[in-house]
Amino acid sequence: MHLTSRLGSCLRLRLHLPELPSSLYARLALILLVGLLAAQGISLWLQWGERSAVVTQARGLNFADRLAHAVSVLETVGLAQRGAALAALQYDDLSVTLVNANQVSARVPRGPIADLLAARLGSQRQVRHVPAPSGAHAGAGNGAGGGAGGAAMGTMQGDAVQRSFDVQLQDGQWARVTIRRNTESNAPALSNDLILQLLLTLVIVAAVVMIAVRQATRPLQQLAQAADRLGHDLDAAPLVPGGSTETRRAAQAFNRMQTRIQHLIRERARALAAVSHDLRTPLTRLRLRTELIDDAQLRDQMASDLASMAAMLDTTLDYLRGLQAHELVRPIDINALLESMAEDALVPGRKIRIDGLAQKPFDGRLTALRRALQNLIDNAFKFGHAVCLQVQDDALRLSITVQDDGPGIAIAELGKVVEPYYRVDSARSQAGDGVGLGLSIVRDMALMHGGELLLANRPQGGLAATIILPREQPLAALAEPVRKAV
Amino acid sequence: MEKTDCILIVDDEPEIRRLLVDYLVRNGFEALAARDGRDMWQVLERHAVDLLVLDLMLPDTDGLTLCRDLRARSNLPVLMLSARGEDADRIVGIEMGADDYLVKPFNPRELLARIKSILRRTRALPPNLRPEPVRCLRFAGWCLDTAERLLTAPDGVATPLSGGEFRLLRILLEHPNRVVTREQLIEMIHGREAEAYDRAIDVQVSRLRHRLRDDSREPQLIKTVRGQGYVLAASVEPGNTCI
Repeated sequence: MHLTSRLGSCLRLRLHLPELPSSLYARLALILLVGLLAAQGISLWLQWGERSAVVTQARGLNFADRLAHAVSVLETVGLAQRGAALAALQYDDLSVTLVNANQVSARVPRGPIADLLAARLGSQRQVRHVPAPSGAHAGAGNGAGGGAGGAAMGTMQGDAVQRSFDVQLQDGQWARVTIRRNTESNAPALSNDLILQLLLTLVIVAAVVMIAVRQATRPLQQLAQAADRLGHDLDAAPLVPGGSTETRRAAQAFNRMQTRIQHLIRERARALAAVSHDLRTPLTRLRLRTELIDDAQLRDQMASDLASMAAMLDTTLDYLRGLQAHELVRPIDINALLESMAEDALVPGRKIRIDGLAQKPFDGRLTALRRALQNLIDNAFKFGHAVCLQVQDDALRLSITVQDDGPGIAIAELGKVVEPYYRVDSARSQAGDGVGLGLSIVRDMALMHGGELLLANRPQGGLAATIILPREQPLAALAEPVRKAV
Repeated sequence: MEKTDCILIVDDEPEIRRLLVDYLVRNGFEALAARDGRDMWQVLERHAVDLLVLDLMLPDTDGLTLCRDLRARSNLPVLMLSARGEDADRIVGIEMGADDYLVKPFNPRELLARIKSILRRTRALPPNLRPEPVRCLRFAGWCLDTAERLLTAPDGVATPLSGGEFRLLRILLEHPNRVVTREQLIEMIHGREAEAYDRAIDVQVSRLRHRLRDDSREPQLIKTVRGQGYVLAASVEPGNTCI
């Protein structure tokens, strides 16, 4: 890990690379691929050198053979036929001429080519190396045929390279043999097979690297997704432990944590449900007894107190139930929901105006949404009189705002009122019944749908509480890049 | 309706039994009480009871089982009481055949109103036409869940209904392909003192047509029978669930 991070910073420094990509998968794959390319490059370079040495040597052999052949032809034919033989020996890349003794080069060849020539022509044979004419090439003058000469020629620029040697025939006549060849054939070409083989290796190793890295990083992604799911749905299916020992252990640890959280929350809910149930029986008795009171005002006051207590029990249970989202997600006609709630509000004499329309059904949890909206509407009527629902809908989000004309909430309190069991001290709480859970429930419901609750004071007075619901489910959005990476 | 309606209260809490009997008698009913299931069957053998108020949690047999057993023998209306306040209890209660459900502590006046409403609904028609209580009613691709008070469209979209829309639709579904007069509708929904609701029924019907995506000019589902009332033109199938 240390090495790869150093390699990463090194790469960035030297090559001025931008930041490495953010995902672990891409990082590992990139680092491994760069390493792979470097290794392949080095091996290619080494092979190249070796090949060129071999090829040059082969050419040297070939050159020596042809030279020896030309010499033996010239020596075999008589002096009279030498002119015809010379003509027959001419090729595109080979020319043989007879030269006078005074034109013979003074240089004695050295290096591997000299040994080759000696082996072909006999060691006592007089051979001279002819420097190339100026402009054609300078490097051949070093006299080295073999590997060193080949390497020197490899650096040559120009359209042709030629090598000439003067050889003394057995009758004393000197012959000059010149072999030309094109510079492009100077570098030993890599065969197609070799390139194909290298490419295949590269592709196969790259694929294996991708699969290996994918294998190594997928459990991490799954863990992250599971943690995210747990935030929305406590009863999400546990992770299936698989893969390496480390990832199996991580999955098992995660599952144990999930079980503990589920257990804790269920215990808490069970305890509160038990308490609330035990309270309901005496409350029912009390409520029935109030009907026996003759003083109408006293009776109504007591009934109202008892109703508040019952409402607190209901809210607490609602809040606890909200944390365990069992409810089915299904498409909901939001317009029908809002209109039915507005109509039901008419029964106790509450008039609600609705502005705007939802464009299409929203996939959500109906009971949760209804509860959230009912809480906001109840709040609005607790502090105001003119209540309005505003609906805004587009492809990305559906937002429902509940507006009232009450006193609003002090700015310092805006962030706190959504905290569970928090109650405002000021004007808002004078009408105060409830346990300070109403807005917490709304916020939880919004979060459960991947959305949020926004509270703001309206410029013309009153509070605007907005539930923003994303049209695309957050889990689906989260799963998207994974699908692309596969 | 000269005869006083007789209500039987089944609850294991003696104080609540006494207070409820007392309250119902003061409000013009005849009231009896039973402490558990065995007791309830004995009272039912000896008295003509019009409606049962049944607590969900009883010492011997629980209220749900009692309700189901009762449904197997008679169509005596049942109003279920529960101290748990879980949505699931309400749904199961109505599935087991309860006509309505109230959570303790309830407003006694609410209880009174519910009792009257159930009696009205079951009395408005002769006994042989009284609907069997079922949880879900399917019609023309739609489905009404009477426990959740929720309408599901043919394309699966959950369409919430207001209380008024729900009651109206339920009555129409319980009498499919039969003309239900406006007077009957008003009677069953609002009770006797109903002249003020005369127009409201028409508004409700037009809202309900909108919910059912029924063209109000040429309605296919809820048809107007001129001068008489409305008819739901579809066959209705009972079901256990809408999903």
